[in-house]
Parts: sequence; C-alpha cells; structure tokens
Amino acid sequence: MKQNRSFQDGLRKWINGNIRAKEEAQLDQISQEDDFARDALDGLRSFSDIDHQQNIDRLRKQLQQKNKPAVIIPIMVRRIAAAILFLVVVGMTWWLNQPNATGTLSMDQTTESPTETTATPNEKTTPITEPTTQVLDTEDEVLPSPPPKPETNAREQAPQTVPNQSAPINTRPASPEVALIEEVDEEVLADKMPAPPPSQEEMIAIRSKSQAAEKGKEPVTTSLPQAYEDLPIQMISGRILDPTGQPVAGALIRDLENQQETRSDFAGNFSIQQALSGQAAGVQISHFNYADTTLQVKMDQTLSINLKKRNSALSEVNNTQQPFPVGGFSYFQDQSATNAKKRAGKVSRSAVSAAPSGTTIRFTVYADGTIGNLQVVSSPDRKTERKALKQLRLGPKWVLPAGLDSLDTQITIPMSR
Amino acid sequence: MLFKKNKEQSDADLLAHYLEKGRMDALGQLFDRYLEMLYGVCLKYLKSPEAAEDAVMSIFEQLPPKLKKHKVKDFRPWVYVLAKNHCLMELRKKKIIVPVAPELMQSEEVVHPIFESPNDQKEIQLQHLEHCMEELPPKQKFCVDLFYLQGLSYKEIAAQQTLAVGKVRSNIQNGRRNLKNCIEAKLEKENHEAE
Repeated sequence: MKQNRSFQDGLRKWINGNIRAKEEAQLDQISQEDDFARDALDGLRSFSDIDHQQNIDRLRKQLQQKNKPAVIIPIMVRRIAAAILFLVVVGMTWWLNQPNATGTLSMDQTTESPTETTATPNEKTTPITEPTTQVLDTEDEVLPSPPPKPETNAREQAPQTVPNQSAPINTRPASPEVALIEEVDEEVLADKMPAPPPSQEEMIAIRSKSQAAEKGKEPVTTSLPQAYEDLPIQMISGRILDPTGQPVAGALIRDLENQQETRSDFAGNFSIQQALSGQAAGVQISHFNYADTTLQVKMDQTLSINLKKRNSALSEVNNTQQPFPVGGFSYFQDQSATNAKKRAGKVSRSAVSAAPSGTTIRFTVYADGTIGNLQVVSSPDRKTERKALKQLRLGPKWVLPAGLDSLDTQITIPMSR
Repeated sequence: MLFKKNKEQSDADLLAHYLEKGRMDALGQLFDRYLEMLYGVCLKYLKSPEAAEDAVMSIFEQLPPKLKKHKVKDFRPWVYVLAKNHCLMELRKKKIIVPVAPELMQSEEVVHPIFESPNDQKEIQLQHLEHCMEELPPKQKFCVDLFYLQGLSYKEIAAQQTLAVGKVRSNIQNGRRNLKNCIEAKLEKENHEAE
C-alpha cells in the first residue's frame, strides 16, 4: 500500500515535472515488480514529450463533472421543475376556472323568489355577468353549425366572441347601448316603469344581434355586423319580469317559428336561438302564474318582458302570495351553485349551456311545512331530475302564506346538469 | 474534517462506501487515485493520448455495472486488468494486431546505469559514461547532466533551459537510452578486444 502510494506520487511528479533523478529511479524500481506500474510508466514514457499534465487535468475535470453534478444538479433541477410545474398547475387551474366560473354564475345569484312581492330588495344583487355569458356561450355552440359560410365570417366572429368571454364582463357595458323596450301590455307599462331598468349588460345580451350592427351605435356591435348579417340564426334573449319588476323564474319561452322552448332562470333571463326566417319572430311566454303572452320580436330589439298576472289559471293558487322555503330560495341556488362548482373543472365550457336548463317541479306545500305531490314539469334529463327532487325533499321546510292549509306551487331548480 | 478523513481512507473503505451507499463521489475518489496510472496503461496500448483519454473515461463508466457483477476485493489489480482488457478490446475493434513491441518493452526497462550496476563494473562504466556523455547531442547532454548529476527536477531544467517539460523529459529519456546503448557497445567492444 505504501509503495503503491509512493509510486502514484512519483508518477504525478514525473508528469508535472517535479521529479528528480532519485525519485525516477524509484519509479523504475517499483515498476520492475509491478505490471500495472510498469505499463503505466511505459505508456507515459512512450510519449514523454507530450504535456500529460494537461490531459490528466482535463480528464480529472470530466470525471468531476460526471460525479459531482450527478449529486448536486438533479436536486436543483428537481426543485426548479417542481416550481415550474406548480406554477403551471396553478395557472391552469386559475385559467380554467375563469370562464367556467362566469358560465356557472347563474347558479350563484341571490335573487329573491320570482313572485315574492313582500320586501324584496331590488335586483341590485343580480349578478350582471349572467346574461352576457349565457348568450355568448350559446353562440359557441350555434355558430359552427350554420350552412357553409365564407371563412371570413368565422374568423370575424372568433375574435369577437373570445374577448367577450374572457374579458372582465364589466368592461362591456360601458357602451351607451339603447334598449328598446317593447311593452307587452299597456296596463303593465305603468307598473313596469318604476322597476329598475335592466342594466346595460343585460341589454346587450337581450339585443337580437342580427341588425344591431347596422345601427352602429357602439363600437362592440359595429364589429359584429358582417359576422352576423349573413347568418340565418339569431339569438333571442331577454328577461322576464313581473309587474313589480321582479324577475320571473321558470317561465316557458317558446319560439313559435320552430317550436323551440326554454325556461327563464332565477334572474328571469332566457335566451333561445332561432332561425332567421323573416324580419320578425313570434315568441310565446307562459308561466302558470301569469297570463300567456305572445309577442313579435323584431330584429334589433331588446326585450324586457313584463308579464301580466294570470287571474284564473289556477284557482287554488293565491296569486298574491306564494309559499317559500325557510331561509328563502337561496338554499336551492346555493346548492346548485355548489354542485356547479364541483363540476366546473370537468364540464367543458360549451357544456355549461346558455339556456336555463333547470328542473321544474310542481308540488303542494302543507301547513306543517312539508311538501308532497311532487310532479316534475320539465327537466333536462333523468339524472338531473332525481337530483333536483332529492334537493327539494332534503331542503328546508316551507312556509305557507297565512290562512292556508295547503298550496300548490312550482319551482325551477337550476341544476344544469 | 470530513475531507481529511476521506483522504485517509483506504481503497477498500472507499469501495465499500460506494457499494453500500451508492456514493459516486467515493468511486470517483478511488478512481482518481489511479487516474495517472490508468492513463499511462492506456497510452501504452493505444499509442495515442486522445484515445487514452477516451479510454480512461469509458473505463470509469464501466465501473458501476461491473462492480455490481463482480465482488471486487482489491481494486488496484482489478482496475488494471479491466483497463488492459478494455484497451485490447478497443484495438481488436480497430482490427489492429497488437505487436508485442519488443523494442518498447526493452527500452523502457531501462536500468539506471549509475544505481543499478554491480560494484566491480561501476568504475569501468563510469569511465565509459564520461566518454559517452561527450558523444550525446548537446541538448540531451545538458538535460541528463542537470537531471542526474545536478539533481534538478524536470521543471527546474525546463525553466533553466527555457524548454517545455515534455521536451526535457524526452531529452533525458533519449539521452539515457543513448548512454545505455553507448556504454553497452563499449563494454562489448572491450570484451571483444579482450578475447
């Protein structure tokens, strides 16, 4: 071992030139008994005029790089990779939640019962985001389907719809869009006026877009025209209010042209797509509490429809008073909102569709607060229906208007899917 | 403290450290001890500094899998055989038949005349040496003189003569060989004359 070391030390000296005659003699002596040493010395001596030190230094460096980085760098790389991965995941989650969150906001809103007339705060609380997103979402689904159009159309639409979806909704309503309010009923008009007019956002959503552009009233719509003008499909969106200006949920809106139906959501908003067959389209609005209303929707019209109370539709129903769940209707909305949020990650944006696709259930409320006679009026599918029924059964007790033993009522639970 | 400890570790300690804990730095340290020797061995067989460098690197890369397979007790002889075999394989790949290179072997089994000769011949050899020294080319003469008689190192000679270390080394080596040949020739001549 000692000899071993001294040979290696001697060899190093030989290579770097610090060796003296005696030491070299020792090297030779050792190499006579040791094949390894002799081969090494022979090899080096056969190239004695080469700067071996340089080659050895280079080798040593390579080896150190092979060894040290193998221990140190992987940890660094792992840390950096983990950090980047984390940021990406966070970013993706945030990004994915953005559009979905707006898409499902309709479930979040805290509007009061549609027919509750007592002490309902004005609809300031209604999230302004809803109508806009609904309309846009539906466009997503609709636009690709129309008959072959020149590609330019599709392209012009794309930039239009995308920013609307992702941009903060608040930026949009800045325009002085003027909504034409068509009165459905002369009598209602007087009632309606005091009610807070729908906000700008809603107006935009409500507007049927086909001709809005031609008017060129606002920058946003001026870019729309060419894209929509030629399309044979238009969106009819609107908001249904009762005579006091409260939103009416669960109203059935039927497009008389192609018999499409949809229901208004908790905020009274609806949107329905319709093939453009002429300048006007007929829409029928019905709700068990209100008189059926048919109106012509002209192009470029904003609908804010006030329903007149139905007087004789359901004899049992006390028209002025409705039962309500303990804690208010928000229970159902909260529930659906939670459900919607849970699904937000899984359901694609287009799946959170525009039309309020809730389950409408008719049932009887008894004096002790229990409910019975559950009857599904409409529902998107069986699964949703079951969920809605469960939610209703597990929900809070109901409060009947004073002096009644039982009362039939109807609720639309906006559990979209 | 830790570094010092490592330095004192034996080959077996380092090897065990690597085998038990998978510490590449221990293996690297062990390999580093024989780096010059292995480089020299590869140089001997492959006859090219560049090839020798590459060979040393690939020998190091072969270590982990081979150490797994074989139970290595003594690293030094084992790595020598590994290096030798590797070089021979390299040469076989290039289809170069390894010459036994008798000259090389002989020439490098140089016996340092001054230290190695039996006492009774030393006197005569020294006489011959003086003559032969005069016959050497001037550079070789200088270098041999400074190295053997003045006891300088390669580096010192290089600095004095403004030569590269490698040049000094090869001058001394060639001078030594020439001296050896010269002395042997003179001895033989003497023997002939004696006969």
